[in-house]
Amino acid sequence: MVKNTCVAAAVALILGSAPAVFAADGVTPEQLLNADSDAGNWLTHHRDYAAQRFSPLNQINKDNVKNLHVAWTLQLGGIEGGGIWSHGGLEGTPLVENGFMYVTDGWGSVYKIDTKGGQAKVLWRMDPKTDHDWAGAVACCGVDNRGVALSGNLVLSHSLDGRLIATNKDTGQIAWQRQVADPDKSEVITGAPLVVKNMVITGVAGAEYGIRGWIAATDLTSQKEVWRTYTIPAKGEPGSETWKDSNNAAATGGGSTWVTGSYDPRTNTLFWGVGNPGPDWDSEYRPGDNLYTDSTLALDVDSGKIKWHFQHTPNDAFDYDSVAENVLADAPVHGQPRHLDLEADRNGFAYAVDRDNGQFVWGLPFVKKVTWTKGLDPETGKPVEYDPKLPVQKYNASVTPSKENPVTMICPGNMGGKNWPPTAYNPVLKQWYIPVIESCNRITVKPETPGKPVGKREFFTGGGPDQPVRITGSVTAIDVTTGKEVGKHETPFPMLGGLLTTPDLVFYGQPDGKVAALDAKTLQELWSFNTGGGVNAPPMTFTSDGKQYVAILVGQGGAWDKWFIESTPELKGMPPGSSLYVFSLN
Amino acid sequence: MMKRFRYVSAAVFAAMMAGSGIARADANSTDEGLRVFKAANCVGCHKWTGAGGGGYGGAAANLRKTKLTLEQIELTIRCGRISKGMPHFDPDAYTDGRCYGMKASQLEPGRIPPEADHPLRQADIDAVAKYVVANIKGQGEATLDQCHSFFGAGSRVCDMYAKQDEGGTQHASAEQQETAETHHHMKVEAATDSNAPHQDAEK
Repeated sequence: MVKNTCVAAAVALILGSAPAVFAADGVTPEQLLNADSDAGNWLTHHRDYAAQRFSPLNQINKDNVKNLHVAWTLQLGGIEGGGIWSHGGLEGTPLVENGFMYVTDGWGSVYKIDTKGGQAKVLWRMDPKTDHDWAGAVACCGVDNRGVALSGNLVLSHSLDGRLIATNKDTGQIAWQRQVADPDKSEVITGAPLVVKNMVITGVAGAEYGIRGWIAATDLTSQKEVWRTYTIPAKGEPGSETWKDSNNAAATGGGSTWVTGSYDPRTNTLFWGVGNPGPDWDSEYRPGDNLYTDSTLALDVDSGKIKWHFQHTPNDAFDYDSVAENVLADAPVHGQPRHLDLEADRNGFAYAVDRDNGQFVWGLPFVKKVTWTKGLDPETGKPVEYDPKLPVQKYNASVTPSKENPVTMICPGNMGGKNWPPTAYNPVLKQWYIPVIESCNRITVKPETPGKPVGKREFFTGGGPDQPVRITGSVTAIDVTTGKEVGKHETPFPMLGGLLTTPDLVFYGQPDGKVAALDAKTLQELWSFNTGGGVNAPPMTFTSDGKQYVAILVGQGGAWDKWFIESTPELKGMPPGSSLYVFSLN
Repeated sequence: MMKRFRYVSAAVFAAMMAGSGIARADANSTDEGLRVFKAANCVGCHKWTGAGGGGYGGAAANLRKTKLTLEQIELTIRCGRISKGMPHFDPDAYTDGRCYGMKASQLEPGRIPPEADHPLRQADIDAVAKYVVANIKGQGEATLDQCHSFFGAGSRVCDMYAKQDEGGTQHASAEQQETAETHHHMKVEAATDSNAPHQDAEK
């Protein structure tokens, strides 16, 4: 019962000390533990450690949301290109503490904005001077940065070129920084850091370039790394037996971790999604289940030791990452109280597992069309065609990319049924909202040569996708107490930005510039506004001077306009941008 | 630093030529072509080396191994490639039959080359075609010197060539060593593997 204990703790804190103490001392571990009940603030990437992206604020509600309008906007930077990218974009979630907002742009500049008085005042900008050419050449899918973390008097951020940077919250000066990822090995960082206790946790990107993925924790006092958990086990470690080749495919096995995880203090467990195996579309190169790719990992947060894993797509041939947030929700399922871990996977299925032991609870397709499998085994949650004795899984062989089937349409497409844009969970309604990419796309397999050295800082994908058919989107609602779909609000464009929920609303943005609010129960649209720029970032909400605002970054980034634009022809030629929109009532 | 001054003087020279009524392309400057190669994001698919290669977005041609002539390269940049991913950088390429004798109306939608994000003027197309012939076509493996010519010394992007050279026959030049020192390169100091078996044994 995460919620109830947090509420109790928050009440105790409020009674015990004045909020002004926090302001002076900075964000404490206790504040982060209770971020869910800190109504006016948004203190950590997914708002709370449970990654629910639910705000209890209800000044803006279904009765008055039609009156929502722009309160202020702010132009940001970081639009310039670098490496193979012609421009940067915005995928970040702003954080707000006591009226001060912290946002990042695509190249990792951090802005501190004073939102008091109903207007924006930039107090400082920390430009990390990211090495554009070094990092941008091996950023698989855009020049992106998803935001900051707060701890004490520090603002923690990542740079695409692999650094963890601690900035003094008052001055904007860099207090310290360390290299965590190595772009020489094609490792880059796009995710927001996560602060737990006295540690800051970092994930990595690069599974399209033959990295061996990891999650790393840095001690905030010593500034040293305290643990590093590799997502591809070394020889002799549990899971290494799932790499059955004789060419050391595990060394370039992928397993990125670029979406920020979640944390359950009750069991001291960190939950983190792991990306695709490499090469993406040549599954014969790497026979075996390829742990821990396409898995949810549960780690002891103090040691990084793996407690359990749940793999969604063994021996993936589709690029169906499980790079997704894991939402922690306590709810009865068919009458039984459960501690759930919810994950909406790129493979098109939504999963609930028992987060205390990794056991499958329920699963269902959340996209309109799935062709790669007939469905999930109701006991194990594995695709029904999965055969642990097979070195190379065939699933639906007429769809699955392989040497025998080198040009094939897959549904969902390789961007997934849902990509990184975060879901939102409403604990009042016990409904979970998924930002869906309703898609199919075509994969052409170009097998890699086993034993041939993998090109340094070169794509290692075993093929690639193209886009012969239109791609749309939806907000799909799931009742977590039954594991059934209870609503689908279809959208003309894919969901590339993610969701926010409040007691009776769901907010989202679209790549054509639209920002909208839906009734959380009926998914009926109640309000919309077109920002005039592609929305590629999640909405968030906060209060300043006691008044509720909704904020969203606007500026198409990512890989869509480079590699997926043919599926959304109306978006061709949409110029890049970099701005912040903030909405309020009256 | 020498190279950078040379770029500056070439740019000044080109500006003077333009001012005196001589077409910019007549400056015959591959530095101008380099500028276009970067600005038009040729790097996005062909990489800085021009080697292109497979991967996420499909294979881009290897310009280091191309057999096309200057005129054919100019045509390809201007008109793109039918049914392929190479965009046309002349915005009017398929309006009047100037490209391959084809108009957009004569081509099935999937066969028309993509429009370039950054259309180019003819002088720019000529300059970048010349750059490809002079600096990329027929070159072997990319070298550290070529990397520095492309990026200057301010980025770590060329480090991988420097490291390769250390083990090979080339020796780091004084300029390279100076660059390495001025970068203040931070290194990853990773913790040991959390799940290594020996940690179990210690328990």
